[in-house]
Amino acid sequence: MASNTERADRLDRRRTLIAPFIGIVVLSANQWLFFGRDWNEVSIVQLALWLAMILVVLALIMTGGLWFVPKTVREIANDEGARQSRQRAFKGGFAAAVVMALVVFVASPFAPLDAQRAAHIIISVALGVALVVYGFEEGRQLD
Amino acid sequence: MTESLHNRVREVREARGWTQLHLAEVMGVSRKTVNTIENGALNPSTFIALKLTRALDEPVERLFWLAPQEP
Repeated sequence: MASNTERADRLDRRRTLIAPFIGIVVLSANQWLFFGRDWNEVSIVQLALWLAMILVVLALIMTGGLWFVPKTVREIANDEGARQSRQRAFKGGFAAAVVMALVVFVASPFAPLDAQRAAHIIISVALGVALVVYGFEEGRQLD
Repeated sequence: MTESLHNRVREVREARGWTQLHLAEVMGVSRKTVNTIENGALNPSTFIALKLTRALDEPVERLFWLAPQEP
């Protein structure tokens, strides 16, 4: 039977592979759900789905996920090394948010966006980049 | 002068005939954390460093040092 450490290692590897994939989904969902569509025609269901996805992704980044595994395994998988990767992911996500906000700001005289759409783009990019950075950082630590 | 942290964790671990997984199990951390400490990619916190010293039964000064100092 696998030890807690072996189990945590397996889950950590899986998380490392999945995180950037989720990041790309977050980024592309923005495109698929909203871009090119008339923002006024976006339904409340689409908005609710997007909001739910964003809240789950945010919780994943903040906590490291693995909510449904035993606490001991979760603590091993979310140890100091994983926390360092998450901190770097926060840095990347924050930088992406600021850059995206600057892009929206500079582009606004030419392509004005309403606040709701601007916030949507900035949040999606920030979280998507954070997840990709997390996967990259964790991947570097795997041998 | 810029200083960096060096360690002999891998050397001490291998002298004991332990794998990274075994050391991780003794310490209660992930094998990845042990690997990143040994490679110098992670500067462990005091908490993890003391867990290492306890697991390997070596004083912290024998496991870690600042360059260019040697133990």
